[in-house]
Amino acid sequence: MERIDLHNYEAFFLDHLEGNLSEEGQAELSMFLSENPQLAAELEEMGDISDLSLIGSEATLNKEFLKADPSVISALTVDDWMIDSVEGNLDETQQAALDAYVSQNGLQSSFRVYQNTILNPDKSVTFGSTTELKRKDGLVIPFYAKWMAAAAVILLIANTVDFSSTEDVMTNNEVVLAESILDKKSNVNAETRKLNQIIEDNSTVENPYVIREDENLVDVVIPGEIVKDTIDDLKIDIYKEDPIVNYVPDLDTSSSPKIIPKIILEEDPNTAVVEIPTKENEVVTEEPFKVLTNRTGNLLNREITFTRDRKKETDEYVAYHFKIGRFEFDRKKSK
Amino acid sequence: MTAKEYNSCVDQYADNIYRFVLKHLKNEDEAKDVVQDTFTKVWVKKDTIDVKKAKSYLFTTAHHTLIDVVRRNKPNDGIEVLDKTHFERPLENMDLQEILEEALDQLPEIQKTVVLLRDYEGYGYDEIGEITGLKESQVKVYIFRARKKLKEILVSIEAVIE
Repeated sequence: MERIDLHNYEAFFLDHLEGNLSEEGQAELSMFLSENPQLAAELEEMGDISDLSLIGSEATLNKEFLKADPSVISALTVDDWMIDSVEGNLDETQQAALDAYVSQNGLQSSFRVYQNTILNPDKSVTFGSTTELKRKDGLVIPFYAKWMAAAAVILLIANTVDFSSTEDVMTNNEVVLAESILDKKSNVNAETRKLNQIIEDNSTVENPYVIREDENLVDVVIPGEIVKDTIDDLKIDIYKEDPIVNYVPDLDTSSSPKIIPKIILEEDPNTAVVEIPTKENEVVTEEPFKVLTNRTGNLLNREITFTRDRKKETDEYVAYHFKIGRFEFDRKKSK
Repeated sequence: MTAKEYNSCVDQYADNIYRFVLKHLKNEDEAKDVVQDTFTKVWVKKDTIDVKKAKSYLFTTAHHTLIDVVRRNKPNDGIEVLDKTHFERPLENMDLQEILEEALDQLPEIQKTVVLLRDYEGYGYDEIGEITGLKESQVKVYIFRARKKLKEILVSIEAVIE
């Protein structure tokens, strides 16, 4: 028998209206209407001569055959019973009742199809070796530890290969100091050039105050006063605002003892050199691998920073700070 | 659950979980990743898991992990009802179980899940409810809908073959 569907239901409607539908066909139609309730109205419009009862001008369809009691096997409920049977939810009595109904209504093939919907696993499909899934008792390493380990390896490599020289790191104080020294050197050089010019102009006069060999180091010895300038050390000279270059004394060199230029050594106690005072515990924070940590951070989509504190006075590293994402690590040297 | 019990669970259930996941993902590598993630999660929490409920816990974890992967792969899957009508191989060359497996792919993910748990693992409705987070009545509804859908597909295939 042809199965009812959306393309042929009108034929079933007609058979139903004309009373030519078998019990199985009637069951099919009932099931179809329960699944497509909007078509029940269409059937109603077509009119049902046998079940038609006139109430005033309205014709109504006897819908009793559409109603269902789940506890009773009927055309509407038989599918649910079959599924319950397949699911193993029926007791012996219920199963016998279902078998009888199926047999009486020729629903064996439909029931068989339901029975075929039970899936059986293909045991030949296996995970494979389960060794990698097995564990031994021990420390559980959390997932984020992988990122930490990766970062640690990168930092280890970074420490092995010196990507940036710490010698180039200059603090703000040092920059100011260097600028000050350069300005002073510039002044001294200017004064020196002026003095040299005067000497050259009076080339006949032998001037004992100038050492020309080294522009970076101009040491002039005057009794009771020393002026020294160098940019090699982070030191500032005591420097008179009125340097001798502004005034060349009119000396009688024939009678005076000859003044010999003297190279002053650093350790010379007569050298009036004053170091910039630094606080004993002043530290400078350096971020030596900023480029590397930034790039690694971008790769891992985590903020990564590595800084270290250097004691300015001794160049000794006293603290390290490492941050990756929400995790921060500090290591400080004990006092 | 001790390490020994955990390893015993690996032996007992790894293949079952793998088959269950593979039915959904159709990708062996992804399925193995899900199995691995599942067991890793269970290992981390093994001290809080009763070995008697280990299998259920494993399938629950696998199901949640699987949902994440399915959503990542197909954001709309599980919501839309698939309406595939084609099969990858000629029907005449397939046996009933193979046709059924193909028909299974035409079910929505949740229906496929409950049917697989029911048929492959023999879970009760209440257990399937625990694993999937559904009410027992919902599980029944999904299983019934799945069976009807499978039946329709099988009937239509029979009609095609005949």
